[in-house]
Amino acid sequence: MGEDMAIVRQVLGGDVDAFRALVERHQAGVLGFVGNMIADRHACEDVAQDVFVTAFRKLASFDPARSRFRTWLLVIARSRAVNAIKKKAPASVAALPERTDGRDPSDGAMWREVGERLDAALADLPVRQRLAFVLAEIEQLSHAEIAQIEGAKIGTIKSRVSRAKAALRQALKDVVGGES
Amino acid sequence: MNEDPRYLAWIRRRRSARPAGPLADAVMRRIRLAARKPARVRLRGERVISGISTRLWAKAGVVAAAAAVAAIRVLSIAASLH
Repeated sequence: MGEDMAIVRQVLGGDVDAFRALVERHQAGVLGFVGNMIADRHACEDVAQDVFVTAFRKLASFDPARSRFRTWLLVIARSRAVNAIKKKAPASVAALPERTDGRDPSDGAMWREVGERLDAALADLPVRQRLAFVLAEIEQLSHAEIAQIEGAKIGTIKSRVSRAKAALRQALKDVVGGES
Repeated sequence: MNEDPRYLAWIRRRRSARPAGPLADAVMRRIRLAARKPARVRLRGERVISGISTRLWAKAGVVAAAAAVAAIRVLSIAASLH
């Protein structure tokens, strides 16, 4: 956070190239969030670029007393992603990069079916539930931060995450041989 | 559900999914392009000098030159009449 603010001050002081450091520090988080919301990889990168270009333009409005830089970026990412996710489904887990640690307990046909069911259930979630679920469960943000991003009460966020989980739980139950 | 290994595997896969891309290069290119736009516009004549765009200064210059030529002609005609 302190390092982010130091870079922000540098950029606001006229050192445009310093912004690259902010992009490099936060691109994985922004790409991860957007990538979990938008299916098309190129569209995902376009949205992620838009997020950073917008952040650069609005940098003077960032207030470290109100939020972390990452949270502020995710507010922009949320607004950019919302329009895109209305048109596009989230990326299929099958299309995501393979893990190479070999610890995935769900390889093979069953994994594919579980992945497809959960992907479909995620895609079917209402946009706000999907956003809350991705931010809470995948991006692992606190409910307070998500409330800040969404401009909603913490209780509302908890409720959205809970409803999203219930829908996914149901999808998992529907898989043949479901354990839940 | 959170203990279900299939759910956990799915979540892990999604957490680790980070679409790669030369994001920093592309972003910095777009920022520099956006920053250059005003300079390009200035080259085409929209720079502001003393609160007036150079395009207006140019028009004012043409009008002033035309007026000067007209004045010289009037003066020369007047001189020839005397």
